[in-house]
Amino acid sequence: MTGGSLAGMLFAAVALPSGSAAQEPTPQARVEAFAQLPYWPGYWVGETAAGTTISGMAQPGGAPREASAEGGIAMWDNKAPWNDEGRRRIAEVMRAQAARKGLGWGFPLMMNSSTPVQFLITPEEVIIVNAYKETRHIYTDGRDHPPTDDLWPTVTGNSIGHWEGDTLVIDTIMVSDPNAFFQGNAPLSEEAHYRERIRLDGDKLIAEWTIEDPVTLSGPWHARVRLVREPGFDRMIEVNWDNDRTGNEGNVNTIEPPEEE
Amino acid sequence: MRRQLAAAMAAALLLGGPALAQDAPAAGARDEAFAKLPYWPGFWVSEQYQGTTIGGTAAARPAGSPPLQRLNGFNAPYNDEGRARQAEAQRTRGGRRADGWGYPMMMDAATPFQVTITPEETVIINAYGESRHIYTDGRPLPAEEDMWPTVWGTSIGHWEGDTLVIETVQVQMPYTYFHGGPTFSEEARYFERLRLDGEMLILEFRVEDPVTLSGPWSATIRHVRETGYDRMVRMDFSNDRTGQENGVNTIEDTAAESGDR
Repeated sequence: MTGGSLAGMLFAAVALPSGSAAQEPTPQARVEAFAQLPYWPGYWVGETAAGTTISGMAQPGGAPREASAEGGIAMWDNKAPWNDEGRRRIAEVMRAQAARKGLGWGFPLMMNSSTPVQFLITPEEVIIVNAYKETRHIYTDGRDHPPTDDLWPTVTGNSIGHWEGDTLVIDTIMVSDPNAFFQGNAPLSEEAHYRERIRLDGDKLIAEWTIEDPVTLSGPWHARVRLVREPGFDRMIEVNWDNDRTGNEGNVNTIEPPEEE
Repeated sequence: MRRQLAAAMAAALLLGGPALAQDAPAAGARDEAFAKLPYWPGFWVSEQYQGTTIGGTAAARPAGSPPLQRLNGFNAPYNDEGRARQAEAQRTRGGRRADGWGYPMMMDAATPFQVTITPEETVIINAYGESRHIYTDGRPLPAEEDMWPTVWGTSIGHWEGDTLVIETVQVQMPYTYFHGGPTFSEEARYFERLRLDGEMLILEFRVEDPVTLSGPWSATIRHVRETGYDRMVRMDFSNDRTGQENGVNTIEDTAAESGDR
C-alpha cells in the first residue's frame, strides 16, 4: 500500500467538514502514516539560483541565469502558451517593472527562488515555508478544496495534496495575480489552476508543473523546476526589512540614503 | 527516553556545521521518534482573545472573572532602563502600526497559530506566516558570531514527556516590531514550557533580561482552539487603509473614494 493511499484511507473517515472542530485519527494510525512518508531535509533553492550571494546574483559578474530546456515558472524564464490577454498583461507589467518591489516571492515563484524553502512533512499536512515567512499549507488528510463560498484569492492560494508513493501531488487554486505581489511572477488570473508533482531524485527535488488558466493561457503550461540544497544553512533564517532603503521616483526604484542614527 | 533518542539522532548530524542530508537519521529512528511525540491539532488563540470578531474585539468575559495574564510585560519588574523604555513606548504607541504580532506576542494573540511537530523541529506558524522554528534535534544554540537579533529570535527545544521545553534568544526588542509587545532588550532570554492539558494548550513563560528587568518575570497563557477554522487562513494587507497624521493613525479613504484608479 502506498503512502498516499494509506494516508487517504486513514483520514477519509475524519475529513473535516467546513468549520468543524478537528477529529483526529488514532495515534497508531498517525505513526503508521508517518512511517510511509518521505523526509526531505534541507534548505532548498532553485537550481539556477544556487550560490546566490548577498549581491543577489547567482554567478560572479551577474551573468544571466541559464534557462532550463523545459522553461521555468518565472517571468524571465517560461515557455507558457500565452493568449492575447496573457500577452497584454505581460506587456503591461513590463512597462512598470523597474518601479516595482515585492514583499516576497509569492506563489508560484517561492518554489523556484534564491530564498531557501523547507518542507515539513506530517500525515495531515505538508508545510512549505521560506525565509520571508511565506507559507504554503498543503492538506494531505483527504479533504477536498473548500466550497467556493469559503474561498477567496490569496497570495499562496489554497492547496490540497496527496502522496503517490514518494511523490507529492499538489492542487492549488484561488491564487491572486502572482505578478501583483512580486513582479517576477507571471501575470496569471485568479482562475488559474496549478498542479505540481514533487519528488526527491538523488540530491535534487524535481517539481513538474502544469498550470491552466482560461483567462491568460491558450492551453496547459508545462514547466519543470529543480531544487537543490543550499549549503551554509543549518537553520531557517528570517529575512526582514530592517535595512530596506528602497525608494521610488515614479518609474524607477532608487536607493535612499541611510537614516541618521 | 526521548532525550536519549534525540541525542542519538543528533549524533548522526554534524553539530559543528550545517546539518547535511546524508547524515539524516535512519528512517526507523525517525519513525520511533515520531511515535513518542504528542499531536496538538487545531488553531490556537489565547484565552484572552477567544471569539475575537472582525471588529478586533472579543466578547467581554463574565463579571468577576480573574484577570488573565499577558505576555505584554506591563507588570514586569522593570529597572530604570526598563521603566524608561516603557515610558517611551507609552508615548509613541498611538502612532504605530505593525505587520504582525512578533515574539513573544504571537503566543498571546487573537491570530490563530498551529503547532506542527516533527522529530527534528517543532514549527509554530500563525495566520500572518509568522514562524517559530524550534529545533529539537539535540543541537545547542548557534555560536555567538552566527546569531543576530531577529523578530522571532532563535529557538532550541527538547521534550520532557509531552511538554515542549523551549529556549529562545536573540530577539530584537519586541516593541520594535509590534507596539503591543514588551520592551525587553536583545539580551533577554526566554524560557517556555508548552503542553496540552485537556483541551487547552498551556504556556508557562519566563523571561530574564539583565538590561531592563530587576529579576525574572513569568506568566502563564492558556490557549484554546478557535472555532470556525478548518485550515490556516492567510492574512494580508491588501485592504489596509491605515494612514497617519501628526503622530496618530488615521483611516484613509478607499481608492475609489479618493479618485485613484
